[in-house]
Amino acid sequence: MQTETKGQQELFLKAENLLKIYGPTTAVNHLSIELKKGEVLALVGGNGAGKSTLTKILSGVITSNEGTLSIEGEAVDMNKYTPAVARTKGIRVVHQELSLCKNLTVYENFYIEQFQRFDKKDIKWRKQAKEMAREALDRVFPDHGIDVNAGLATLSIAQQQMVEIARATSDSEVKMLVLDEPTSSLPAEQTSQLQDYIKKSAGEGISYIYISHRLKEIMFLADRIFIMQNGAEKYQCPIGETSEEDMVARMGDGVVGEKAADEEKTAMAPIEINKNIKVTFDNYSNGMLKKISKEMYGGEIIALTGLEGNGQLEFLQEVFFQARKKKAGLHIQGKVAYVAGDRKKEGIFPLWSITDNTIISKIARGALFAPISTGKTNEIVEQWNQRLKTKCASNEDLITSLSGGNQQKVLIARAMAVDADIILLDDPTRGVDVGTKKELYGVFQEAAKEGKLVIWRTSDDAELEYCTRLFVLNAGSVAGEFNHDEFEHSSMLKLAFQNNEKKAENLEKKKAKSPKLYLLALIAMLILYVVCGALSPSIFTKFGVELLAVGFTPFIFAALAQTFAIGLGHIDLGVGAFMGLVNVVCATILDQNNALGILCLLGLLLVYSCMGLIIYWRGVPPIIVTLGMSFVWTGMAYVLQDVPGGHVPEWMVHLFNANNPVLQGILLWLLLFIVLAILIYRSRYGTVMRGFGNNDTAMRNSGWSKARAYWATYLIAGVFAMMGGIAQSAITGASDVNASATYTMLTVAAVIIGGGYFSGGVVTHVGAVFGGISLTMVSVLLGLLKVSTDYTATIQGLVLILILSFRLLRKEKLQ
Amino acid sequence: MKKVKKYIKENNWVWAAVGAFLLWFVMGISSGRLNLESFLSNAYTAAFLAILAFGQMLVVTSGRGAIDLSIPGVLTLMAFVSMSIINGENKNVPLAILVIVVLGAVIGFLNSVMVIYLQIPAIIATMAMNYILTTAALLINKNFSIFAIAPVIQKLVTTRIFGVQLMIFLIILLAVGFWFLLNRTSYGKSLLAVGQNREAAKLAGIKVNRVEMLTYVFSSILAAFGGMLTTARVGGALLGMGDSYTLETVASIVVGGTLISGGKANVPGTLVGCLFLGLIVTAMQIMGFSVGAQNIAKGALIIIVLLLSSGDAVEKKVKRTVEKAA
Amino acid sequence: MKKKVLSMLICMTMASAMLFGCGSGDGSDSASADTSKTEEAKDTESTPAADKEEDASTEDAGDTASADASGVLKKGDYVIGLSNSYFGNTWRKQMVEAFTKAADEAKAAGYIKDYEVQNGDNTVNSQIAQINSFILSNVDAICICAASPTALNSTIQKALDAGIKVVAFDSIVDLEGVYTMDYPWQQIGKDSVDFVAEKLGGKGNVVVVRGVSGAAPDQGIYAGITEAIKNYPDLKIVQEVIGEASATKTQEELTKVLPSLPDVDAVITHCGGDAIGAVNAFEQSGRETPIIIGDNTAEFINWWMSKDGYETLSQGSTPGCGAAAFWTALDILNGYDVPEEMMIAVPHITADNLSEYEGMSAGTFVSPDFTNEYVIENIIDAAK
Repeated sequence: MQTETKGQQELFLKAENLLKIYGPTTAVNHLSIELKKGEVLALVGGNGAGKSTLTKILSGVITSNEGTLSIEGEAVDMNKYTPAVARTKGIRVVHQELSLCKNLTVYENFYIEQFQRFDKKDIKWRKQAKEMAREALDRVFPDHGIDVNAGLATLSIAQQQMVEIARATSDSEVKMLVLDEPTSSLPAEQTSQLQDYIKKSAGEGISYIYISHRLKEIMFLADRIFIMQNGAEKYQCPIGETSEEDMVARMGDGVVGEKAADEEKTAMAPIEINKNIKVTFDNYSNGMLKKISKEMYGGEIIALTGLEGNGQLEFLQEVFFQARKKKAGLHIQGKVAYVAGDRKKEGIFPLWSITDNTIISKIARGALFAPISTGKTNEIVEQWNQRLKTKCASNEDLITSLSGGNQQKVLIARAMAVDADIILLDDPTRGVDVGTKKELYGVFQEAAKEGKLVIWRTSDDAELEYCTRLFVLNAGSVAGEFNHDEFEHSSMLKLAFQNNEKKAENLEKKKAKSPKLYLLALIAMLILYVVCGALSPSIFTKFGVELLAVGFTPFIFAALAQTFAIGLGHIDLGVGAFMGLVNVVCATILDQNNALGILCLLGLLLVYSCMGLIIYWRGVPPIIVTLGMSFVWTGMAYVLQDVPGGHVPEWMVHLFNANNPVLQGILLWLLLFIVLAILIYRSRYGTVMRGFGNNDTAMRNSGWSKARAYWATYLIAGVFAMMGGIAQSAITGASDVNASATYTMLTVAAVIIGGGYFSGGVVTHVGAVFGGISLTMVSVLLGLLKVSTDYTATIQGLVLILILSFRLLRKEKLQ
Repeated sequence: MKKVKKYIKENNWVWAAVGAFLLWFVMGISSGRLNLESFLSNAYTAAFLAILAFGQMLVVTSGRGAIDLSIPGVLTLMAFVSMSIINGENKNVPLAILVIVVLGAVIGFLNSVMVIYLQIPAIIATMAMNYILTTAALLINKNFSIFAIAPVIQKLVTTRIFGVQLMIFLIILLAVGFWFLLNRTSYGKSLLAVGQNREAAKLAGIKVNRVEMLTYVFSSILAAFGGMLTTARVGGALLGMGDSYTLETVASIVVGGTLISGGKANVPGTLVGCLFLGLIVTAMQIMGFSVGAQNIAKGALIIIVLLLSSGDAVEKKVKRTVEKAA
Repeated sequence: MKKKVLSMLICMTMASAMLFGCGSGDGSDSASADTSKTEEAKDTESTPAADKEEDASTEDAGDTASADASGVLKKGDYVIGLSNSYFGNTWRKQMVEAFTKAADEAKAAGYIKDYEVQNGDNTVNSQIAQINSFILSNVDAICICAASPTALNSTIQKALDAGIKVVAFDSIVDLEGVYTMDYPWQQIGKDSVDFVAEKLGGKGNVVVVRGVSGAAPDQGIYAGITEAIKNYPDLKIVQEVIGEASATKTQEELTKVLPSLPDVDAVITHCGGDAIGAVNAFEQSGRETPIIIGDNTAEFINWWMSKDGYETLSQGSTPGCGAAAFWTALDILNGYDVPEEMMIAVPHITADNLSEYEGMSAGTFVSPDFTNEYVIENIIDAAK
């Protein structure tokens, strides 16, 4: 269905001669593209065509090496074109990898991204955000059934995708939207809702670049198609002039581009099958793979192709990981080795030399403690380097000094050096220059000739020439199989693009709402309290409660401070020592000179917050920094006061710990600060801080400063720790630097028992309070049971382990 | 010369070694007595630390921020256990060694189970284990009254060869052994690989779980030996005798060039780090630093070393983000 | 939800099982737990005391020997608790044993109904919990060997407010209303210096070994040393070492600094478990053993005895003070007039009386037998 011709439509965006080269690869090759206002442009192409790179250039994530870009008629300075600038120009992108913070709710995620639309002074931002979220979701996906108050982690992938899309569209300033595979997880109804929305808003003047493999959708939605191949424009035309078959045909045509000149269509000599080596899938299903039945033998080169993300990787890894296990339906005969394609992430060992990187698999197979002969090692490495023609100055050079192609050679050498029978290649030629690619193809073919089985996942359709057999994967099953001779690109593509999957009929039922994090700690605390009370009824009196509470008040302040740190994904080992220092300052400097004392305290707070900056700036592990600082804090305390004593000024004791009929002063302060902590996390910036604890890339992309977040987190933690020290001072009236030293580890335990996680930004202050109280009640319980308090630490440790084990059983994963 | 320069650049611990010598020198000058004995006595103390530091080095190298906080607990408990078994008699020593090795292995195994299978972060798992071990030592201590050290152990710990304590030679031997273990065995190489990139290690065919398990076992066994030997040095088993070692093992390996993030271990560096740490404390004592000043110095040292050695990390990070965009 | 509750229950069951399994409670059956009762008990206690006085002798006569020769104590329903911050060294063990022995005697004689001992892990947290549990179980008196001179104040105040008598000993606290039994730390320091000065003729190099940083004994002894040494201008402190009242640490630290030191003529130790460490350090260093001030440990005394002609002074705190604290607390409960600040004497051992201390078993400290009689005469009355 075509949109009405809009006649003289204005151009929204015009890019000319874009170029992006990464080493040997040209990702975007002198490409020019135009987008009119209100136009829906479909960007189509096979794997590695360059769509993703082009998108990144247009949205400012990457800078083009050449060319020009103008938006709404105004030229853009390519060198200064950042995502932030792109946003001001109204360009928004919805990537395939969702950039949401899973520990926040739906509407909080909206806030994080759209914060500019909120009035700074508005306290009722939540209401506004909720409305914004609801409205956006309703607009794009009517009847979506998503509760904007729901934590993102409780939503299904489809729902998360809906949220992400709705969020992007909700920006009132948006003028152009790039959607990268937006419907990959959406069920049928939502897909059509999205399409309706796109049509509608395009009609209102919003431009779209729609990247998808779903040719059917494109036919319905797009005004124009733009086919990319090898980083350049292959073909473009208005939608009316093409069809699904046409698109497929055009994509398949000329893939063999570079090789056209080379007539040696690598002579596929009759393959000698080596039945000693084989991999057999017999109606095998696991995870993404569905009912695979295939037999592969040594001597073959099997290509796994099809659109990325359809199970090729799973197929490969299944062979590798199940090699030694006997899983029904999968039979592997022969030694298996894996060559990773994402070299940085899964391939190389960056601190090592070429030699070490090459020989490691072989070494790993050897006897655990048998000595390795360097002579032999070097020999093997040299041998393979020669064979693969790896270019390097010396084998002892760091692997990171090599080009991508040569690094890949090292990884291949690694697999070959173990004399593997089955070689699994995970897209090994990505980012490798043409010359090296050819060399590698030769190596694979030689290996096959030697009787090995090569299974090769490739994203470059040109490589399919070198394979003896091809499996086209689609949605986890083998949609089709081709022999080398019968193979044709267009038919392969047809199978790849085919939409076999039955779209989910309805939206997946939401994941069951998980109980509150702190529930366990709350129950534990109450049980302990009741049990203690049974042993000693005076615990149920105000006297008893105050007695216990005053005992653990400083500790709880510390636990609150630790909660902020763990919320960011760090651990603060300096909390206890800092409290001790504050205690000492209160009893020494503050007592002699109020002004100086307060100044000191503020100064300490500043230093504490700077720890956060140092951690950010140098990327050093927070554990060690805070541990080191704990010694500094303790040392400073000793310098000020080498023996416990001192005198806390009366005004401080009065202010913080006055006796009054309601509740002892310090307890009121504790309650106040607990509420404060909760409010901080519920505040706008608090939400930001929590976001950083979960997905700092998404946060930075939304424009928030990581440095500031780190600084703020440590500042706030410092304030709470300081209150702990002040509480200690007000309660005891004097100081002892060692008194709070042991709190630190316990505060970590308190946060975790209270339902917190070490990473992911999933912590609650209330939980930490319950957890902390539970831990101290263990001591009290032991005392009342007349069990030696020697056991306290052990029991606390065991409780911690038990709780973490239970968590594993529940398998809650928030990332 | 170029090779030397390159080595120094890649191994920051050389500066620590230089620093250690400077310290010794300064100590000598300020006290008016520069002699080998002052160096040796510090090296001697450092030797005991080194046993533990090697264990910590292995654990830290396994990556993902792993740290073994149970070392003090193991040391103290095994001190008690070994003394109880030996009871001052040489003939009981082999049995004692067997027992503490087995116990150490069990403890290390439990640590690894918590880390690998229960997926509890190493810092928490080993901390919890430490609590349990400390309590166990407390319980033994209640009825403990053995103060006799087996003569053979006593001899081991006090003998000197050519004026240099036997322990120092032993530690150097141990260091050579560890260097060999790390660089010339499958286990060592696998450990270094796991620490650098766990995913890649898996795909390279390394049995990651097995390597990690062995690592924790080694660390605990080393700490167990440390406990037994320390009883001879200090004349008995005392609660809390291992407490200072947590920070000291971490500090010495950091100073020595082992990466806290894992994947790179430096054996000679660890030795130097132990020595350096000891010398700093002694130097501070001699120069009359107050307790407070000593603490500040220790803390500052760790942070400074960390900041200095992270310089490369930042560069690498920048490079990575640029290439990521590709 | 069901699974979670189940796992929670398992967790709690395991935890409780552990507790009961390990329950080697120090002390005995649960004390009565009723706030009001204690208050009344205290009121009613004082009146019958007067009546009982005449009967005292007859009642006591039938009891087990050596119960109380002072005549101060009467039969009572008291529960006395010992809050010991740390059980981790031999001194503390001996102290707790002394307390327990005295308490058992008193219990057998009917002076107390029960006693309870709680040992901590040297943290303020756990000691606060201990004291709280004592308060909540309504003990009549608490003897405290404190983890911190200040951090427990608020909790102790609560105990005082509840009418509980508090006796702090050895590691005392600084709070009005608390009875303290302290050692004359400064005097100890002074005596060490004076002895050394006399033996060296006022001239020589001295090494000072300090105790646990941030603790009162260390500060007191050090102050005594530095003050006294002013009187001997030719006596030089060439090095201070922090031994942390531990033989281990002392030996280690001394070993490290010795090579850099000139000839050492005397070592003034902290007199608190560290002396043998100093001995070992010197003996292993090959240097001549200087005058080392001893700490009354069996190790030191036995070593001293093995060295013919070696002259030194040994002094130190007496772990038997556990019993002293117990008796004092009981005396207070019985209405005896006890001053708030008391001192415990420090046994001085020199070559003259060394032979009296033969046959000390390993790990023990020199300590008189603190009977109630001894306590009243030498500690309580002496302080008035």
